[in-house]
Amino acid sequence: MRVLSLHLENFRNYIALDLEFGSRVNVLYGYNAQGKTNVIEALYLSASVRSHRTSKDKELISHGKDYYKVCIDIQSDRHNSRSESLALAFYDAEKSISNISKKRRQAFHNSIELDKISRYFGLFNAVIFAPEDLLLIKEGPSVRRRFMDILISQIRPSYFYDIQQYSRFLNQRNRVLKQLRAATGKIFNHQSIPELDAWDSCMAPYAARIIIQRKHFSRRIAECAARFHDNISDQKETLELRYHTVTGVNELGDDFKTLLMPNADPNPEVLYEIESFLLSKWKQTQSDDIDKGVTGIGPHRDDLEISLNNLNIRLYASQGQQRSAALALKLSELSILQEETDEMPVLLLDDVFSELDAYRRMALLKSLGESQVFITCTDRDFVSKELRPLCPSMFSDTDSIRYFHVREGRIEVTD
Amino acid sequence: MRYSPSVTQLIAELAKLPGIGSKSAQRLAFHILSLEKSQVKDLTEAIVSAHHNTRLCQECQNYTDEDPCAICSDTRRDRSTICVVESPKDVSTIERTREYKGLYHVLHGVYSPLQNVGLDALKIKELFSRLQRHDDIREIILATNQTAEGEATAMYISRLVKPSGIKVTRIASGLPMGSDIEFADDITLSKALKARHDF
Repeated sequence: MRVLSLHLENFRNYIALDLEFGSRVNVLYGYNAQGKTNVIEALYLSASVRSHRTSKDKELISHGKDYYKVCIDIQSDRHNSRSESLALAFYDAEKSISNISKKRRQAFHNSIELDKISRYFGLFNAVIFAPEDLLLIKEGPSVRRRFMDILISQIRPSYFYDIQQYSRFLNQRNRVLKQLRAATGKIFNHQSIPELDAWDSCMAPYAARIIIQRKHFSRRIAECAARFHDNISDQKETLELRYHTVTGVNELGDDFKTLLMPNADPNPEVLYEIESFLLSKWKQTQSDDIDKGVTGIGPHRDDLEISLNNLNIRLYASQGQQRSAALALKLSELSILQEETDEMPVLLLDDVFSELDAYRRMALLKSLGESQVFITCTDRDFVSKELRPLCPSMFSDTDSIRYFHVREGRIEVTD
Repeated sequence: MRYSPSVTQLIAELAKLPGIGSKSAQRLAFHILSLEKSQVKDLTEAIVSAHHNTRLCQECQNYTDEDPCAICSDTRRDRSTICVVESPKDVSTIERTREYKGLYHVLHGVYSPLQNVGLDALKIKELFSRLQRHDDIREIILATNQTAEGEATAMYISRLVKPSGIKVTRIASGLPMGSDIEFADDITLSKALKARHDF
């Protein structure tokens, strides 16, 4: 997959920007705080509908403006494919006057507006390598859930819908819990509370589907990551990943595990089993949930537990070991996306080489293959001096490298 | 935008209506100002009399001039089936099909705690008292919208009605007629596949 061109409106420090890219290596160079990462961010947003730096879309809008728009033209690797255009827009509800449709977010494919954002997923795939990757290891479970969610959404668009619906039900349920807590003088033991049961029964099928997909993909991520990590660490250390779900679905035993094994499209019996398990769990923890005013059990509390040589990597690994693990996770993302979509995703390398030693740089460069790459760095000669010696084949042909000089929100193509 | 106080007032009132933004409100206001006196009188009288004469049918909770409403008092209709809908406009949409011969029940909203719409704000109590009053009701069709809140409302009613032995059904979801499978979204399509039937 290739990005042919990018058009930005009111995005970060770009009020208006138009760029045409080369089909192989694109190097964005310039001093710090000039807007290199903003270009990478816009490309990443085009793939995952989320920024890799913030969850607040408002922050992406240029100062004093009321919307942003990101448009790209892409071309698939498939033979004879024509170029397609994709666009995403976001309107700041408080300030917006130019937005007629009153929707906050709009997505377009070949100039046709999509009625659901979930239909946008999978049209364009990109994988980003950035300093923030280290947060996958260092931070709490929410970062790793997000990692899984974005990966699975790009492969199975209906998964994104399930996530959206589940969180809508969950928010409603939590509001009911708070209302019940505020209703003084009532004691809830294990009796049935109809207004709570209604939400439970509705969200259980969505939760079950989310758990199954995560279970399936975390297994694949684990296999891939272990393999990549073997390469990076020269087989000295073992990286292990385990999907941990607070629902305790693992308690369902071996039957459940074997049923899950073969593929990611589970049979209805498995789904039904997980659903009824969740429903009984939610009933058990009902009074706890009312006390706290939030739902304590469910896929919204899942984690992907990572260990190195059987020790928790968050607590016991060095910075370098954590960096290797993060790199292995990202390389797995790349490899799984490629396998599932039969397309080489676009690679975004945001200031990532400066943090890796020669050995890890090699591991990353080797997996780039024939894909289109975007690299940011401060020094124009970085690629020819530092990267070419490591991987001569990739950077030998100077025609295949296009340089962009980024300075104070302006971008020039240079020789 | 400086209008005289009375025009400003008119625009402000019109803009409070659903689906009317400030620009539409201005256009409507100037249209009203351009009307003949008699036309304005017709309009205002229609609003006042509709508001004055309309009440809720004690049976189905739909808007009506006569209580019980025309549908509820029609002896030719099937009194053993009640179709539960969110709003009065859903009744007229289903009536348009001329397929359904049973009765209705209008909830006037859906259960949405986040929007501060509780179960008490809906006409659910009225539905249950109706079920108790009439022992000839055999089936409840839940025709709330296929949204998260519509589903939850249907689920709530279903759970409370089922123990009474009355049959509870939910309207099917799937592909619209005359549409291409190609343009169906994945979720609708997978639901339609699951609910396939012998042919």
